[in-house]
Amino acid sequence: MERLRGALDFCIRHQTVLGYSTVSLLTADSEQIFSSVVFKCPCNSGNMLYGSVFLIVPAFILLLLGYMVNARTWRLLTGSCPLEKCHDCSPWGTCAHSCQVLVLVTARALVAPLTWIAVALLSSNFYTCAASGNSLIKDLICKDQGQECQNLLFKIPCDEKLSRNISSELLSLQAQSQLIGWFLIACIMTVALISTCVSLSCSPVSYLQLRFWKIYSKKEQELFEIKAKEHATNLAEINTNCFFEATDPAPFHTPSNEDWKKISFLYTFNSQEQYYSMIHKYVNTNRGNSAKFEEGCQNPTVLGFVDETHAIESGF
Amino acid sequence: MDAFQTILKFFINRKTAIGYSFMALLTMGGERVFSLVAFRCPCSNENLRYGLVFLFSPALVLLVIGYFLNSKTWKLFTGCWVNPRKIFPRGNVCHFFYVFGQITLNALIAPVMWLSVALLNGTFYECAMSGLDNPDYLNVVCNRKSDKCFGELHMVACDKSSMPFSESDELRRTLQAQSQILGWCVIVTAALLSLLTTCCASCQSKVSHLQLMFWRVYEGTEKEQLEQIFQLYATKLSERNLKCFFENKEPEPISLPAFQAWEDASQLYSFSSSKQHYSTIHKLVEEGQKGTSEERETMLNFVDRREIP
Repeated sequence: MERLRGALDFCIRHQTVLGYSTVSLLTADSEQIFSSVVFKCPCNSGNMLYGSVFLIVPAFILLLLGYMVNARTWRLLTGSCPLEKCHDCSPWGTCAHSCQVLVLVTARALVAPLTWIAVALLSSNFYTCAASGNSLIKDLICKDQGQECQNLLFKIPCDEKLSRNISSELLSLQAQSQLIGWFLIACIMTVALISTCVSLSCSPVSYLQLRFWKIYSKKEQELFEIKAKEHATNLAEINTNCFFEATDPAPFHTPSNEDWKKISFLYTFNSQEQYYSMIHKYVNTNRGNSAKFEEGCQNPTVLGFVDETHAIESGF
Repeated sequence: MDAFQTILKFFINRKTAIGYSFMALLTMGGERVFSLVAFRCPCSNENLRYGLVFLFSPALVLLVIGYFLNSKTWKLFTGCWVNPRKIFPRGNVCHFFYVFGQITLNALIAPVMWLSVALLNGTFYECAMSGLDNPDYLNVVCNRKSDKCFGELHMVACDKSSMPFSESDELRRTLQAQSQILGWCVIVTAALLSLLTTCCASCQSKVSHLQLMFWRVYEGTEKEQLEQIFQLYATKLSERNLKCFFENKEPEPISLPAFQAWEDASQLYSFSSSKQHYSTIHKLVEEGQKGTSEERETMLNFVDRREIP
C-alpha cells in the first residue's frame, strides 16, 4: 500500500510530463499499427498522394485534437466575441495577449503531430511510398532512363530487392527517410530548449516564487472543484426540496454573473502587485470593485502553467 | 483506499475522452467482426449495391441509436402531440430546429466513426467500386492495364479474374488506396467542422468559462438530487397508499407538485443573461411555480447533454 501511494504521489507530481509522454507513446503505437495493418502502398502513379496523405493528414487531425483538448483555448475563446472584457486595455494590447496565448496553445498542441511525423519518418514506410512517386526523386534517380525506370521506381515500396538494383550512388529511400526523421527530432529538441530558456529568462518572477506559484495554482484549482461541488450540492438540494414541497427557497448567496466574468479573465501578472491568480486579485480588490482591479494589462504572462491546471477539469 | 479514490477520480475527470475512445474501439471492433464474419463480396454486377449497403446501413443504425440514447430527444418530444405549442412556443418557433440540430450533431458522431473506420479498412469500398459501371471511372482505374480489366473488374475483389496476379493486385491496391484517402478526408472534415462549431458556440457564449464549469457541476448534482428525492417521495407515497389499503385507514396528506408544475419543470432549459438561473427547476423555484415567461433566450450546448454515454 505504501509503495502504491508513493508511486501515485510521484505520478501526481509529474502529471504534466507523464501526460505528454503517454500522448507521445500512444501516437507512436498508433503509427506502428497503421503502418503495419492499414497502410498498403498502391505502387503506381498514386504513390505520392497516398504517402503524403498518410504522413500529413493524421498529424493535422492530431493538431486539431490538441487544440480542442487544451483548456486554455476555451478559456480564451469563451465569451470573447462580444469584446467588452477589458475596458482599460487597448484593442491592440488584447490582440497581442490573445496571440501570445495562441502561440503557447499551439506549442502544446504540436507535441502529438510532431511525434507522429517523426515516428513515421523513422519507420520509413510512408516516405518511401511518397518519394517513389515524386518527380524530383525520379529526376535524380532516373536521369535519362525513360518510362521503364519510372515504372520500376513506383514498384519499389512493394519490392525490397528492386531498390538495391535501381541506384547504388544515391541513398536508399529508407535511409533518406530516417535521416530526415532524426534531423526533425534534433530541430524540435533544439527549438524546445531555446524557447524554454528564453521564456524562463524573460520570466518576471524568480525561481522560488515560480515554484510557489505553480503549487498555489494547482491547490486553488483543487479547492475550486471541491467548493464548486459543495456549493452546487447545497443549491441543488434547496431547489429540489422547494420544488417538491412547493415552498419558497431560503436565501442562498451564489456569485453573480458579473463576479464569474471577473474571475474568468486570463490571468496577467503585474510585478507591482502580488496576486497569484484572478480569484486572489478579485478578493483583494474589494470583490473587483476597486479601480485597481482593472489595471493589469501590462506584462502578459509567458508562463506556461498558469491557467493550465484547468485542463484536468475540462474533460480530458 | 485513498489510492483507489485518486485513481478513480483521475478516470472520472477524463470520462469524456475515455467515453469517446471506448466508442472508437467498439466501432473498430464491430467493423472488424463485420468484415471478417458477415461480409462476402458477391463479385458480380451486384457489387456496388452490396458494398454501399454494408457501408451505409450500419451508419444509419448507429444514427438512430444515437437519437434513442440522447435524453434531450425524449425531453423534446414527450407530450408534443398532445400539446404542439410545447415544441413551437409562440415567438420562438426556431427553438425546436435549434435543439433538434444539436441532437443530430451529437448523434452523428458514431456513424462518422463507423464510416471512417470502414473506409480506412477499404474492404467495403473496394467491393462497391469494383462494381461501378461508369465508363469514365473505368477509364481512370483501368488506365494502362489489359482490356480484360474493363470486363472483369468486379471479380478482382475475390481474386477470381483471369488477369495476371500483378495486375489484379495493383487494381486492389488502387481501390484500397482511394478508399483510405476518402476515409482520411471524412475524418479531417468532421474534425474541422466540430472544432469550428465548438469555437463559434464558445465565442458567442454569454457565460464565462469558470461559470460554465460550475454550471456543469451544478447540473450533475441537481440530477443526482432529483433521483434521490424521487426515490424518497415515491417510497413515502407508496408506503402510505399500501398501508391505507391494507389497514383500511384514511390517507394522510402528502404534498406533491401539481401537473402544471411537472410540465413547467420538464421544459428544456434556456439561459437568460439577465437572471442567474442554472436550470428550469432553479428558475421555477425562484420565480414561483405558476408558469414561465417566454422570452427569446440563448441556448447553451452542454446543458442536458450529459446523459449521452
